[in-house]
Amino acid sequence: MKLFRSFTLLVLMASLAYPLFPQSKEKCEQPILITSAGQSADVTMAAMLCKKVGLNAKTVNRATAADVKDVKTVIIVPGFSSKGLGAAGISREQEMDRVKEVIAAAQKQKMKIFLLHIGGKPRRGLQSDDFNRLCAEVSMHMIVVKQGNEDNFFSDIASAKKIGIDLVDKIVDAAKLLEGSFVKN
Amino acid sequence: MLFYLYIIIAAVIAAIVLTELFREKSWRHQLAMVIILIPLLLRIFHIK
Amino acid sequence: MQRHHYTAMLFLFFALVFSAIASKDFLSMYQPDVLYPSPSLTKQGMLSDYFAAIKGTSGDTPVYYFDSGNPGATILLLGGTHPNESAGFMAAAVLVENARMTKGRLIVIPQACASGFTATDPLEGCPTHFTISTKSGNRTFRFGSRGGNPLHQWPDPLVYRHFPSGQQLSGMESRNLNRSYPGKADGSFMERNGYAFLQLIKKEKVSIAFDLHEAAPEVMIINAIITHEKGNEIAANAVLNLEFEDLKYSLEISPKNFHGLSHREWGDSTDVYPFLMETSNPIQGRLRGVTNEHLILAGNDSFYKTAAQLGNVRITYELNGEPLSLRVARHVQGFRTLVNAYNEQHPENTATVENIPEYQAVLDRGVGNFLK
Repeated sequence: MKLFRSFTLLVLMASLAYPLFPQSKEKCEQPILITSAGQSADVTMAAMLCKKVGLNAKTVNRATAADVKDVKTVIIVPGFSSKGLGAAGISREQEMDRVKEVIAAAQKQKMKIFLLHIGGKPRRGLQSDDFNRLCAEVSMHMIVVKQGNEDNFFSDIASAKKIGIDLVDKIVDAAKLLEGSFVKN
Repeated sequence: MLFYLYIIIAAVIAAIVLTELFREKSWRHQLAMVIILIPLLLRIFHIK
Repeated sequence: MQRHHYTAMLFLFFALVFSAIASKDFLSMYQPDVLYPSPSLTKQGMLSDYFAAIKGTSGDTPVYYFDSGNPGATILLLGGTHPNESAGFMAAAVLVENARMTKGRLIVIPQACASGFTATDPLEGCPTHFTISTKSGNRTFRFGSRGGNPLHQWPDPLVYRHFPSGQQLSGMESRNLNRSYPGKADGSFMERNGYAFLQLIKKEKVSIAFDLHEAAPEVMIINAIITHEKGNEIAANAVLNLEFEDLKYSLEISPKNFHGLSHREWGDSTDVYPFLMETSNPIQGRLRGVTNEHLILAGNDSFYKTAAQLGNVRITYELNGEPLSLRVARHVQGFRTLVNAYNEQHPENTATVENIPEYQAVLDRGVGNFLK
């Protein structure tokens, strides 16, 4: 009886302690493909962050399925920019199709998709949220600048789909998190 | 060239309005005419 | 003489009196704004020095040169491309009255669209001037129109066809300096002005150029830096550095197929790295209420406040307003940070601008504190 009580207590303590010691976050592998979803220039800043922390990443703003072949992780930087689409000379629909193609190719190769939303409020709203939702739902982890999650858009998706999410105050704060999210080469 | 053509058009219209102003017998219509005349004068004299 | 002849003469007299009163107001906008350049000014010229065809026209405008005497990069800064975007003009004025170069050169054109400073936009009910309290007393500056004065280029075509791309835009854009680049030597009034700016950039071998703007709070691209693709990394670095100072900017790349704009055409036609900056200016917005001098200076509007509180429309508006001091401070800080980012990327050809007011100082003490 005493043994049973001790065992129950141990199980109870272990279950209480569990949330305090979550499983360490599954790390992604390099090399990385960074691409945009919506053609905002945030992708340039994502590339700079990766460069800053020494991640092996190539940036292809308009990546296609072919670009997914030689990498192990895809970082998608979502956010609509009319100027960016204009610069690329494509329509919103074409961009959406391209993003779906990249996601499908990554999923087919069982590749990890990482979401990096660093544009804050300007990359939210009607035009951006289709891209944001599409990419968030298929990602294995998200790093989001808080200003872009004031309405819990990303954290709601994260909890509904059981996706890990890190909310940061500033874009530069994402750099350390990015570094820690990848296995060192 | 087109600029000066438009200034001439404005001047002609102003002249017509001015002539009609003195022919018109109803003071209400005369009042409407001088209101029309103001922007024409300002444009002809390159003020606005 | 009949009775109706007397009434005609009476009405005509009143019409002339009204015209004279209005004329006095309209003509006051031809009185140039006075700037007091810093002692570091090395030369003052005119835009027509680069293209004689605009000499003596309403498009000609003063150019201020600050040469350190030490070799380095040449910076060009334009304010007042759109004369109803006062923070661009005032930020340029602050630089003219304070800047000191220790390396390279700085060229400032505070009122790029001189013609637009001689009129306000029709049907907008905007004030013609605003007054800022400075160290030496009150100084008055003009508040103009987005495009050039229709008196200097009239009539607007139904459709404006940009040279040389052939891109079609609304007719009124034919008077927009920021749709006129790269310009045309024998083109319209505004195309000739655009051409003159390109000649300046080429002749002076400008390395980095700024075009300071503002936009209505409901415009998508606001508190932003827009650049040609070649300036992408410089701008991205600047955005990250500005974020360190708690200044949020979004980065936008100039669309390749949207022609006539400084960030596209300057970059395509010359070696310059062009940057355009936008701040939020309620007096340009459609939701605004009372349109007066206070709105230019304090930038607060009860309708925008309500809209921001309701959150149903996407606007960039602080609940306390978007005062001129904040908008100028953002431009000045953006300028400083972009120059630093350029210097980092081009250590072989740098420029050092000193005595530019700090962001917080402009915000706390007001623009007037940095004007003579």
